[in-house]
Amino acid sequence: MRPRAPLPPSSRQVPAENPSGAGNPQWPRRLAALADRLGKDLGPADREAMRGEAWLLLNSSLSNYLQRHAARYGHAPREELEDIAAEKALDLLRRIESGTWDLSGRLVGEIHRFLSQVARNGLIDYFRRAGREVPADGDGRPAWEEESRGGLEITDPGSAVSAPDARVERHEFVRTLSECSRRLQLRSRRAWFFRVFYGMSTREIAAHPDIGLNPGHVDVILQRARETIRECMRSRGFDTHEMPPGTFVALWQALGEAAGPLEQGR
Amino acid sequence: MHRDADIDRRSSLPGEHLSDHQILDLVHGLLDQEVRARAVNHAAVCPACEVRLQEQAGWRERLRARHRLCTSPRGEIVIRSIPVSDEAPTGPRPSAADLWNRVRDWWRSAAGLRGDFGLGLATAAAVVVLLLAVPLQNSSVEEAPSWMPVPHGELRFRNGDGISADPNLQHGLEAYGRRDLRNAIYYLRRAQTAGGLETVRRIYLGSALYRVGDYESAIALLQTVDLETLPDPWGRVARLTLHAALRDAGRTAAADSMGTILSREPDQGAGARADPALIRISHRAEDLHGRRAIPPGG
Repeated sequence: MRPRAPLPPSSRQVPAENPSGAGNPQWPRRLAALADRLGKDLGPADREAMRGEAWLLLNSSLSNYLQRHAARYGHAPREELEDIAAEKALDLLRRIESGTWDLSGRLVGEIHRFLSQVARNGLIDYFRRAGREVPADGDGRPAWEEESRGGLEITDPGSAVSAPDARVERHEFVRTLSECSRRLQLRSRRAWFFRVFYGMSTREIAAHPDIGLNPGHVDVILQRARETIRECMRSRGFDTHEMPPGTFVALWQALGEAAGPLEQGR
Repeated sequence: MHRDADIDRRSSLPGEHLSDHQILDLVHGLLDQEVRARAVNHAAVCPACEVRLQEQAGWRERLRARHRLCTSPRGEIVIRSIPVSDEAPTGPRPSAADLWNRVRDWWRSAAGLRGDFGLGLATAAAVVVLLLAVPLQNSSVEEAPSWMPVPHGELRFRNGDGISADPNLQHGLEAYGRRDLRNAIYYLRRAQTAGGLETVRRIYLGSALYRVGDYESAIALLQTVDLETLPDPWGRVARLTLHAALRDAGRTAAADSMGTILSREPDQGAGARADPALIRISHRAEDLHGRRAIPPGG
């Protein structure tokens, strides 16, 4: 993965309107910083890296807003939401580079509201194209206000684990699986991880910039990785069919560490 | 990055779920080490947050796999996307109307361009109407390139000034359709065309030249066309033909470079769904005088 292009200190940061308050996300600031740089003269490698990062941030945040709006305004197929997010993200990126969308001096809340509105409008346009009735605004509360609560009831995470021995067993499983996966070379481990935890297709894995293989080769790698991990886990008395909570986080963390400091930011 | 001590403390408290923003920050590596460690530790013991983290992280990696940001020869950012499924494409073939719509949309945007873009692409108001039953074939980089779409039915050529196109163009395309390469080359070389019709002439002539083994002439011709902006299937077939010509002419480095890019292109097999996330190319109405199309890897 291309290292993240460093950003020089800029006086045109997005001000934090409530630094000690709730909901102090970093991604709008990062987006604003990227936008500031993309509006300037950049080398091709830096521009490519920053452009890619900005597009990922835009797409991810728009996707979140789209899902929230869809929950309130009406269901839309996942593929349509993906298309809307991709299209809107591209449009916003073009506007950033052309200077027609200037994020300098914008408050974090302004960026939230704007992106939420873009997502909402995209969803409503989709409903209209699909000939569906556009519902009235739900409870009148903007979607972005819900994010500060996380949208979930607060529960003691300890309650997710039923008994001490179950916790120990889960911990052992996760530790063993992490060790077994380290037997794979990094690229193979990554391909296996993409398939198991993200459900990515062979084509997607092959095309991923951190893999870069043809699909046939990916299938071979996946087959071997499955066998290696299955045999390793069996030899330690574990079955890989059920993965307890905590497995994903442990392997995701380990994969990031194995990739090196340049990818720690992933 | 500005640290928010209050938020950091809240994130470390048992029972405090990660917000969507925090998960976004975590996935995109925007948290400092200490805050990140607390967020990860929380997700490791909170199944609900772990699931959300997994979804967000998976979304990001799928985006990175499926989409590439590129710059068109006109300097505009475009997305190139790959199909999602490993299954063979199913569904109805694109109709002639679908294909015509693609050609029409392309021509409309090209008609707004001025200046000599290698071929005079932007100056012509000519519109080619091809009623096609296109034998779309899967063409991978490893396979031989397909033939250009076979025109049959009625071929009509008209331009905004009402001037008939050179009949040699029509004769050449008809000969190509019959696989009569000798006559196709003869007529296509003699056709006097301009603008968009010149593009048509060159890509069909380039294909014909490749098929008779005149690789260098095919390369020289196809490299003057902006293959990236041609609608598929013509664009795809033309790119594959150029790649094959480079390969068969022994220009290994150029062929390998182009092949790497082509192997990541969406496979426009028969019945490929019209995916709105596929290559979107928009043309700005600006003077492109003097700019020459540079094909990938060429």
